[in-house]
Amino acid sequence: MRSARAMGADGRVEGGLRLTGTSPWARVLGLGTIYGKTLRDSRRAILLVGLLGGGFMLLSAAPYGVEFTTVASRQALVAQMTALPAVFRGLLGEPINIDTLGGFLSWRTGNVLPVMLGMWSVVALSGTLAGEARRGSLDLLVSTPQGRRSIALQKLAAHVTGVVIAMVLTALLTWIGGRAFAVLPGDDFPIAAAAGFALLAGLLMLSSGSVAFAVGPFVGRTRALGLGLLTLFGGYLVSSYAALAPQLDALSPLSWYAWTEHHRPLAGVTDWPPVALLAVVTAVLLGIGVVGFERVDVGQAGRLGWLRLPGLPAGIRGPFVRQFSDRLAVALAWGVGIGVYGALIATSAKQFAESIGSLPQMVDLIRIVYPNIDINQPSGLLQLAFYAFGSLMVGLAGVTAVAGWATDERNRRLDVVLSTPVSRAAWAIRSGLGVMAAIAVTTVVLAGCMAIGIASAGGSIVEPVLGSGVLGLAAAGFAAVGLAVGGVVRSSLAAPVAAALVIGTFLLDTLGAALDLPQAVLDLSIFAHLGQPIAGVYEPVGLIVAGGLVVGGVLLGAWGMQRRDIGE
Amino acid sequence: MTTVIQTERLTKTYGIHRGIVEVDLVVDEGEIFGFLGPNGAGKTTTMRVLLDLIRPTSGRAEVFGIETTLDPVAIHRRLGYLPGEFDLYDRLTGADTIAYFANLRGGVDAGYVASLVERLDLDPSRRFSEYSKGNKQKVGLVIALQHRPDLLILDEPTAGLDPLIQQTFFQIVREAKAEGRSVFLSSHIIDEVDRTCDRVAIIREGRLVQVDTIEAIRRLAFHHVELSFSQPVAGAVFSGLEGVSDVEVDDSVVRMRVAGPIGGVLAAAAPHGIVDVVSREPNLEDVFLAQYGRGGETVDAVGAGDGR
Repeated sequence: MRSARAMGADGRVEGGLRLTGTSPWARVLGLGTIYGKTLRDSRRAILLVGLLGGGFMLLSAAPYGVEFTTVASRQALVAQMTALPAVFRGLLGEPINIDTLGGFLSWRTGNVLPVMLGMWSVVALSGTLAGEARRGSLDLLVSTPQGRRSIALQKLAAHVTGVVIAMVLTALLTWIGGRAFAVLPGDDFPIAAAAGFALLAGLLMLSSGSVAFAVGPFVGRTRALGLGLLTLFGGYLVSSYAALAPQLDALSPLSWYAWTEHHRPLAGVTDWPPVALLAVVTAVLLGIGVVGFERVDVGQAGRLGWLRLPGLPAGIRGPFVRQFSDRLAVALAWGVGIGVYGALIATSAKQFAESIGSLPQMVDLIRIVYPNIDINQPSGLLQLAFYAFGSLMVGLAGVTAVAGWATDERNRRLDVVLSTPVSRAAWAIRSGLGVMAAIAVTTVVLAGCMAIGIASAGGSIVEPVLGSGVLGLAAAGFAAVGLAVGGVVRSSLAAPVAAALVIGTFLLDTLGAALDLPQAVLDLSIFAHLGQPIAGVYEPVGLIVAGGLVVGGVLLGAWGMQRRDIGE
Repeated sequence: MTTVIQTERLTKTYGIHRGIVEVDLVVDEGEIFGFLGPNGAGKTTTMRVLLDLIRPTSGRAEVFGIETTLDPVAIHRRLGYLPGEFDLYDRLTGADTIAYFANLRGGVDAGYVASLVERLDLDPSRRFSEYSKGNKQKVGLVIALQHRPDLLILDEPTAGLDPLIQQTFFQIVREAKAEGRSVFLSSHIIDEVDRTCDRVAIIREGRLVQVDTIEAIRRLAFHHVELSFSQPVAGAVFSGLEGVSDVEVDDSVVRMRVAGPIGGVLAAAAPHGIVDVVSREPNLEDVFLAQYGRGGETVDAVGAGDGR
């Protein structure tokens, strides 16, 4: 019980009442400290990240232990993979000791895992303080007898604890996978190796999050999120394709994925100094975030006028324009980010063609596997090196548009809008089309950037531009599924569902074959039915399905919106 | 008199949680109707059902004679709504925000909007995200009022407003009534509701417990009665009388609450050498507090009836 009456040094107040401290039960429930409360709020995400990370490692171990049971079969795999030029190895990185289960796991799944899971760290660390400020709860927190440094440190410690818990879970499941599917001598890696792998994965996740945390107090949540994602994806792409283009190679010293590319504990190879350096850099960035939070005005981050983007149209003519206008800035940013990546690859087409031309066997192999692709053209290279990751990125751009759309209901804007003579269905359709228009902007900007890159290298820009449109159509299809779920069930589910579809499809495309999934499962990916559009090869079935998803999703969302309560 | 709002046994539940239960309510054209109740009583739920933002679990609601679930757009053309909690577009200025909602209504009288902005002392040039809570509320009020709707549904319209702007707001509400328009509002500024509203409804735990004119509620509610005698008098003289409660004796002064006529109290006091009588008429706040603080002694005295 608390009292406003005078309190003595022993904590007693007049009348014999005593102020109680935080009860053990409250601490268990996470209500005793900011640290506990933040950890409590993250519990589902922690569990999800840990299970996803460990689950993928476990699932990747299974087919390897079943298919590659002899030394000969593994040597054949090694020969094939090491012969591939960097463009084909692409995002999987250098194959290190893939004739062992640990090496294979590290290469096939472990390398990409921190990028996928790192989105959590970026989102969480860009928003943990800014989110409180946005809600107004930060003022209340700061008004308690907690210093700002303490608040920032507790928030930070909670996230780091969450990452540690998730990585412990990942390490355990990885180790269990190693024990369960080890076949040949050398397959059975120790738990220390799994822990070493998880440590690096956790650090890589945190590092991009730490960028967002460091700049957040100065530039605001949205820009911090963007910068964090830029280092997360950009650093990985630079590291993966450094060998492909001199421009990317020049950037590789800035990528911590490149620093740590030789640290693969599961493969029996360790390189601790870069890992220690990464830990130091991450700690410094997190420290900058803490000090920054101490020094800036509470809730005033992002008001740096000189960082403001040029004004965009207000968009007040109706729900379509309003939605489009609110999504436009982020859509442009996505388009430029993905487009620059595509343009960099396109500009390296000539060098790639020359290097591949010196390997006649490789040329023959490509002609067999990709008969419709001309690797001497930028469009062919983009299809091979850009398409898969580009599809993920454009898909995620669509997800952010859907997430923005959902805030209209969550923030009760929709209550005011629907008190006007705009029907629910009309709003759902018009705002949904606004989301689609935002995705179209991302696509057009992406196509434009790639066209510029191709023009500088020489080659036809028609196919890549049309192929970008196909990527945009697929992203719009995913977004429309989110809109449908948001309309029928509730809008807060729209972005998570769309994100699950985008990431799930990407993982299915990149890991499905390695996991030896049945063809029927692999065919669930829409990209299995879209041909090789950046190279000018189209499959009408996929295009029709994607178009159907767009139209059907928006209409279904409108139908659902008419039937359910708003804001509940 | 034309009815603008009518609900019949209107019930809304959220899973296992209560929203409102069998609410019968009638609001007539040209009246200002106050809707009172503590937080969580069901005021917002009722208003959101009237807007068709949420659908009744059972019962029905009509606005302008149109069932809310059948043609909400036709209803929305003629009403203005201010939610109790809302957020608008951070990037837009106040002027842009107001213009957007004007566009959704097909245009409004710009002169009237300008007068509202001026009277509410709103700076429309700032971004919505930069407004204080009170200024955001002003933007919401302009949005609700700008098209001169036939019916205003306002959920806590004075929240965050300074006293001067509160006065201006209630003046605007009275002007709306003078023009024959109707207002259905909830508020915690009971003094203003007392002065402004023609009728009030009190809702408690999802059920209407009282609906009547302010005068009728006052008449039928208790009086605070203070009797001064020439010598001390036992409280038992009064505590058994009909309608009497909370008898307090302070030497030769006896205080009590009396529901209904006080003639019986005066008759009982007369033989004891009464020196002075003070009877204070209850205000709406007394009624409201009685409903919530004392278990609703007046519920039976003033039944919710047919909601009129």
